[in-house]
Amino acid sequence: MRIWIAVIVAVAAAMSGHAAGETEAAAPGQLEISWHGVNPTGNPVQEGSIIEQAIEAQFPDVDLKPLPIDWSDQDQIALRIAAGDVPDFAYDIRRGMAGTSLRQLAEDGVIRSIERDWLSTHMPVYVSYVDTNDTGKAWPSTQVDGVQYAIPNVSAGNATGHILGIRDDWAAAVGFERPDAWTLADFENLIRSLRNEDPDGNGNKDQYGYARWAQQGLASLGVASASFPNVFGAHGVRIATWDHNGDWSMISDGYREALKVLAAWWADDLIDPESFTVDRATWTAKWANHRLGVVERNWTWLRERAGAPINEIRKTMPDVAMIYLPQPEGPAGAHTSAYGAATAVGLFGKDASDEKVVKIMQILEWIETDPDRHWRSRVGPMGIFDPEVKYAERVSPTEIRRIGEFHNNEAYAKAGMYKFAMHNYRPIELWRTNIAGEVATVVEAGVAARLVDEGPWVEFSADVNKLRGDLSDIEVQFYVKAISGQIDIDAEWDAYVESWMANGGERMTAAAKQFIHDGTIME
Amino acid sequence: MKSPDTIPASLAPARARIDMGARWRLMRRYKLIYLLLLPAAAYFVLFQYGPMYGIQIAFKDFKLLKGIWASEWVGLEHFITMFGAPRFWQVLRNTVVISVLKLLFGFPAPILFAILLNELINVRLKKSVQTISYLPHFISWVVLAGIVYEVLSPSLGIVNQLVEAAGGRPHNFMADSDWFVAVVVISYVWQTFGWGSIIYLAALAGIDPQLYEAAQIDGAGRLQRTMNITVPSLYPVMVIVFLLRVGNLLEVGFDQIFNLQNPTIYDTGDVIETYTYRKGIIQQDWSYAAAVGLFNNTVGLILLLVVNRFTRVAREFGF
Repeated sequence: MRIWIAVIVAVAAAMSGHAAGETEAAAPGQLEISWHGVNPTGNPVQEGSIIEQAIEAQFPDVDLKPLPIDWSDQDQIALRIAAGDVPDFAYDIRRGMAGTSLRQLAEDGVIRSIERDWLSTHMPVYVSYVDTNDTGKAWPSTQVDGVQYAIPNVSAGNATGHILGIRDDWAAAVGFERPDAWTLADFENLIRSLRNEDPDGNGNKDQYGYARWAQQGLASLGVASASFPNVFGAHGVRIATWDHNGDWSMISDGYREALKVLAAWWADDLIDPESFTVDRATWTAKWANHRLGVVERNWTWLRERAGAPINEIRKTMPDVAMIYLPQPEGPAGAHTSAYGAATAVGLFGKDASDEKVVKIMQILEWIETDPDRHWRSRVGPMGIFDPEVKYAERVSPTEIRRIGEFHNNEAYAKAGMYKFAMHNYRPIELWRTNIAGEVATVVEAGVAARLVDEGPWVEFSADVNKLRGDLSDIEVQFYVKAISGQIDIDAEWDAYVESWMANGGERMTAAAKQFIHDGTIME
Repeated sequence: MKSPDTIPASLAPARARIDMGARWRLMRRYKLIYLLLLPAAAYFVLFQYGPMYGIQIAFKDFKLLKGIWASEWVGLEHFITMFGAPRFWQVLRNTVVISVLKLLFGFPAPILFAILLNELINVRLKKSVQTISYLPHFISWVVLAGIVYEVLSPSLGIVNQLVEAAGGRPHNFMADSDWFVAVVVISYVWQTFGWGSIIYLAALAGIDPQLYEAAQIDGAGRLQRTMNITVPSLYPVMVIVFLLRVGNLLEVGFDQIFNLQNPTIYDTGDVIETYTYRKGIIQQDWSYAAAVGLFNNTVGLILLLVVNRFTRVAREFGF
């Protein structure tokens, strides 16, 4: 009897291990490297993907173990880390740990330090790209007290700013032509026409000219770089940044005035009322169902790619194109904002050995310094899985026919799309084929580069940085209430600033000023 | 009903007088029955009491690398920070407001429903209504929250379509702090009133029909019979259920709030449970989150002890 019980328990244990997705151990002599890179949202990469196999073929002493969780699932990533389960390599792990800083991760022992020399030795081409495009934040944002903790990343692509675009059929329907220069008042007239003149001709007033770009999750509302950037830019405001004097942009006078403009538009029913509560999927569906007219985002999202507005529109109206527009002029000129140039980093988990760290660097360098490998690490073999249609055309026109066959979630997972790429590494020469048509005219004319100053790099102690969580909550609530007319902006402004200061803003501002003026970190 | 002075001196002290020897003898005699307790006891030790050793991080500067024991003690630092943070008081206020409103509307709803259901003569209709009312109880808040968002959607939701049909302008209820609490309370009542009525229906089934017959002969109308027989018969159950609910006053229901809330309504909709989760898990401020959680649990424990005392008193009064 006892023997049978033992057998049953052993079988059950073995089966539960299998069911839990336990992976096979690395072969003797192989380095097992757990890897948490990017993936198409909602499609965690499977182990043994095509791209993983390609890397392992080049590095036979490596056994890659991609984390089977969605890159955008902040909660799950944070839970793994809270349990001490930190991958050897993580791309932009901070995205999954909103409110934490590199310093906190380092002090908590979640990540390990590296030697800066290793980067120069094992990633020379990559490092020269970083140095060429650095705006001064790449290196300090990856160091704690002078010690290197991460691979820096910059994005020339992201630094081009958020551009406005309008679908050409609706523009024609309301008699709008692309201006070389225009004002916020002109822009208001455009979105008013789109709202009131039934540009799709369906007889219903069911479309909005303007909407906030939807983030992946509502919690990321605090990451407000995509929040009406041209309106804030026209008021000289770059959302959620410190200026050179150590003042926070979201309590500035320009910010208040920009909110008032948006509130007036909201009151006139010109902004989609679901702007603050829809997720990306619903927002994308609005484009597919022809409910929105003007899009506002950096060029990488305005071009043709899966999930981009123009692709959604073309599912039913293949002849529609986007007209890309310059920034409207406001009280502070014609400006926009963007993600920071230093947008992400590559981190090494606390248990990663020196040998693993070096090997990871070698893999990344190998991938990112060859155009074909760079693209295949993103879009799969021969570019058949994506979006990057133009590149795929260049590589292999015949493979294009297979897009329909492979353009689905299962294919993404099997290909291993994005997982092993430094996601924001976008040398302009590699991406030139994607900057085509109207987008190219805007990007290359430098129109999109009229950015509000990004502000200086500001370093906080881990304790002070923790204050951002509550402050972000306060900012988001005021931002939504102000725009959606739930409060009188002028009447509530002082109370908002007072609350912001009382909840840690005062301490954080003092710390920012101290760092900017003295270069020292306030505890 | 027994009056307090007719109850024997006190039952509790009498129980206390049972000596330990007799207790052991009883346990030995019923050892097999006590053995049945073992799995439950093991569960509580392993998964409820065991993890409590982690509470100490509320008094430490917890570092993942050092672990719980080796992290440095910081005394009451996190509690001082907590009590000094206006956001904490806002979250505490939200917790109490939502909890009290849930109690205010969620407590009488199943009673009213049970009484109404009891008055139905058509058994088939009664059973159907009963079953339908139970259904939301079996649906996860992940799904229910999706339904709520859909129903209240400014573009597609039925509520806003009615508002538009009546000449109004669509409103984003889920981004409006003033509406959020109402949405939470209404959706809570909707999910729980059917299931919560079971205990009252059971109590109603135990009322002697002769009481109704006698009242009817005496000329009592339907409403009078309800008010003078049905409702008083439910008092004992109502008191016990009410006291138990008060004991859990600070447990607002993480599942519901977490799935319904979004950052735009934190000023009225962020409660201790969600705040702790965000601070601890998402922002990795484990020690501070543990301090907030410990405060919440301490208040909950005090409430539970008080309620426990009230329950004993209520029992002595015959409830």
